[in-house]
Amino acid sequence: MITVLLAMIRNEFRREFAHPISVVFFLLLPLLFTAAVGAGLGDVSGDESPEEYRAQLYVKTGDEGALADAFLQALREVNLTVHVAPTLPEDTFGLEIPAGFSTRLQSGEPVTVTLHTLPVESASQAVEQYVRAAAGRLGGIAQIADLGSAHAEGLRVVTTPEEQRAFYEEVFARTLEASQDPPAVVEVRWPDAVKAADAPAAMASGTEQASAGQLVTWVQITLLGAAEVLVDERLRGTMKRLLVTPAGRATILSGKLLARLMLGLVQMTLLLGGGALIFGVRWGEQPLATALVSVAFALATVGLGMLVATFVRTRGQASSVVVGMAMALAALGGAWYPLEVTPPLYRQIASVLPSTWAMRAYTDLLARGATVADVLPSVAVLLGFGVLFTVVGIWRFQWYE
Amino acid sequence: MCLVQARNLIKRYTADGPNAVDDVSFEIYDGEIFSLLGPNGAGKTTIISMLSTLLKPTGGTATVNGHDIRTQAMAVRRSIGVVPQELALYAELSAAENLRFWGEMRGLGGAALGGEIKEKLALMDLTERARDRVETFSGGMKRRLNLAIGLLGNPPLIMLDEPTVAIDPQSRRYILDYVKALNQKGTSILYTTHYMEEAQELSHRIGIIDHGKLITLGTLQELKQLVGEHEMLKLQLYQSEGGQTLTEAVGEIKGLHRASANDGEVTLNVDAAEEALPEVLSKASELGLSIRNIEIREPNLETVFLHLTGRALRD
Repeated sequence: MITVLLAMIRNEFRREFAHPISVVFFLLLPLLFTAAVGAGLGDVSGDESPEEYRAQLYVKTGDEGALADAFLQALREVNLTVHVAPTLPEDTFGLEIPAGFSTRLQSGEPVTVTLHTLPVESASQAVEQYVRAAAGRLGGIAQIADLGSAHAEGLRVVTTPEEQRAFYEEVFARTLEASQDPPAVVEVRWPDAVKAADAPAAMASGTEQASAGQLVTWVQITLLGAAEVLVDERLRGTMKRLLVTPAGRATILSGKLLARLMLGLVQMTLLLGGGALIFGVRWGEQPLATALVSVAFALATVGLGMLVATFVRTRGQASSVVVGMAMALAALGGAWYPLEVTPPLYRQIASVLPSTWAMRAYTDLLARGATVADVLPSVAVLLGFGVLFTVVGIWRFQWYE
Repeated sequence: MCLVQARNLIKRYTADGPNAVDDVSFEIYDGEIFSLLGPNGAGKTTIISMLSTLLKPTGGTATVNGHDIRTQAMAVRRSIGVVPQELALYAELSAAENLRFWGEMRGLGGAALGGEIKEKLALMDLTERARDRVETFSGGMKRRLNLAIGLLGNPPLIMLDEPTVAIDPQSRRYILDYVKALNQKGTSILYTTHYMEEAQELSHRIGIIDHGKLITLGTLQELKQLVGEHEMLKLQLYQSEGGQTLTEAVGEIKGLHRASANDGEVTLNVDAAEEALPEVLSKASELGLSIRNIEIREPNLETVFLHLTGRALRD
């Protein structure tokens, strides 16, 4: 039986790579898409500094005062790359600080800065939040300094305007320094299944998201391809020929599915390796955890491929359904964009898809350094999908027309 | 020794449908070429499918090489080689790769398989194309490779299901000669065809099958005797609608045993074709029918089929 299974696996590999173009779809396109999508999502390689991917903010200031400088510093500290420029470019975020900004703040008058934003929803929201946070921090400090000065004047600690200004600047500078190390901090904690990684990122980076997403997308095409293979064997008559060999039906079906599974796992290994070597992706802390997730996902998807084979009759149908389903599962499962940005109903629907569980597990591995124990729930769900799809597939399977 | 023994085989694909194979019984003896001759849809492939354990019979049973097809399927499969009607090949692989894979599926391997691949390629005149992809082969070459795969492991019984369909005359000749040579080496053969000439040339015994029923079985001589020494007179008319009219008009001529028409082709089973011909031509002339072609044939399997079914083999 082992000899026959090995023969079937060898044969499947020979057929898959009989035409050199297969390598393009098997490896090159997935890596190219990973690079392209990773760049689109924010970064290309882990070797490059995150600094280069901070939002760019151009600032035109009409004020040279100390508070305007403090505002610029506050903007830099909230994850923005600030460029002071005499004019604001039209294709990026711009901020105008009016003349008299420092004076008006010091005298307790309201002051307005203008943010020129862009029609890019996620980035513009982030930049607006950053600017509001910096302005809020500066405003708070100015209020403290202003209240302190007024109180000092009431107590006659300061009497002349010069003393008052010096006192204000002293309080402002000290409060600004103290705010660098605030007494109240927020500590982020993940659910028990996830531990904080070395890099404390809450979500996978752009390249990590792209690597995991493209792996799930392209490997699904290979694994769901079990449907195409089974339909093709049925139509070209080789399935009947297989059935009159002494191999037996269980061995034949196992061989066909195992061969497809092996192809998927080889592709996964290459993409995991490619992600690590080319894009610097760190696939978790424990290789065993990554392997478990990958094998469970492969089993679930190849089972689904077998189930699909029971619904399609022609090669054309099989090919269309496989590609369409792989794309839909990838998109819905969070392979193309993080599910965190989708509405709750969307996430509920996505939770019944194997691709969602695979992406969840890969994200836990990538962003949160999940261990074997951490990914076991996802692995169990994926294996459950695999058993369900395979059992129903076998029950419905038609060996020949 | 009896290699195949089929007893009252029945196959019905749907519960209330007709019998695709209807109570068929026959034997194939060791060293014999046994042909099943019949038109398309007669049930030949279904019989091979049951004997090769691909399909379970609805009724009846059979043994192959002493093994029951219902209960000892694996042993049956080890005793047979099957050459299906369709070209069951992996077109994207080479001829040698196809042979290697199918050999491995039969449990062959190592140097023995390597030697057998070389031997089969040489036998089928495919050695020079061994490493070429099958998708670049002609129809005849694919047929020969299809046959070679069925021979792997040198099983005692080969089942060939219409192996010469849609190929060029040269490849057809090649296959027929090879089947004879294979049989001379001791391999028993179950051969299905709707080509009368092939059954006549190859077979030790022939079973004629129609609508799922085995209507007769015997050697070529035995089957010819079923129609006596009758000859077959075939006329092709210019008027396709005139065949039935002429068949009715010649009903009373002397020595006529059976008459049938298929469009413009009239087939008459008569004692002496040359004696009957003038009267037939006279009747045709009276009916205003013009003759395109006249053919006289000695008794053969087609006359036997016509005699037994009232239809020509290709109807």
